[in-house]
Amino acid sequence: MARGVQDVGKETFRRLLKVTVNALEGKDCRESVRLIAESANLSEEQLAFLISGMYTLLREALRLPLSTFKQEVFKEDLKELRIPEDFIGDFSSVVFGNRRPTSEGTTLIQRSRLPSIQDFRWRVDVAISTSSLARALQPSILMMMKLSDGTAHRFEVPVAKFQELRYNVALILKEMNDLEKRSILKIQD
Amino acid sequence: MKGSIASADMDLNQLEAFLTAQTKKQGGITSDQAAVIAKFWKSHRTQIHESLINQSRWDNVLKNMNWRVDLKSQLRHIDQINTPVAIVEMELGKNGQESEFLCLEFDEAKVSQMLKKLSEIEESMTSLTQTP
Repeated sequence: MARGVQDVGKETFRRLLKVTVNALEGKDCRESVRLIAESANLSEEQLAFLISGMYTLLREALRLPLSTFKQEVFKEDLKELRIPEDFIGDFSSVVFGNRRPTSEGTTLIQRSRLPSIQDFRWRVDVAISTSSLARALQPSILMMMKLSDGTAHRFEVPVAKFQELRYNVALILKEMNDLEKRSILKIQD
Repeated sequence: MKGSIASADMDLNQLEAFLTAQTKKQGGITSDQAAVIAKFWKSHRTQIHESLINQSRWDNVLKNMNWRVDLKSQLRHIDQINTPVAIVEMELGKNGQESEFLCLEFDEAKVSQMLKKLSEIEESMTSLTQTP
């Protein structure tokens, strides 16, 4: 990215930086990127290099907590990467200034989470008779879960497994309550 | 004959009656054979029954469940709140196919909600299986 960014004009650079910050906040930037590609004199490859480079740089810089990460160190590092002086100032203001992306929207947090259950439905079925069993009369539970990542899962739970599931969930709740009650060493930075 | 014993899922009384009737039939089994069949059915009944039920299960089935509770410390906030988070892994599989592992995250509220729903299911089942 450093090589590419030297050829880019200040105006274009600022627009690219804005797009990168928007992307870090989780906003959809396809339209803005398209506009930049049309107006600036950049090939698709150059554009890809620049944006991905800036995105990675900012993402890594934003990960570090502000208490240990100093502005001067960051500027020195950028100089070593041979990024032009003007642009160093802009990068710096994103990381340290009030243009810092808000953490609620950052994809950093979204990516480090596993999906959770958004909707949970169930049904108790009793199989009266099947092709292998004339007299089945076996209750079975059908569960349908919709997750936060958009996927849906449907599965059957035999009665014995259901009891195990119920026991485990109760145990999890108890463990969580116990954890909160104990005085825990807080992780200091 | 063994097919009809399994299909009807006979209990011991029914089995005895059935086998005695068979020994009395012409060209039926001897009492020794009846004794062997009775012994076999006694020891394998549950297994065979389970296997037959599985033959009529075509959806994914919950095979196993593993979990752990982590403590999530939120950095970059002024108050460092330590909130517990449960990570659950569920193994879903079909007969003869490789299992799918579902990894989910729950906070305390969600675990509580889940437990409530499971209790509803339990209530519903006991009301179904209770003989009036």
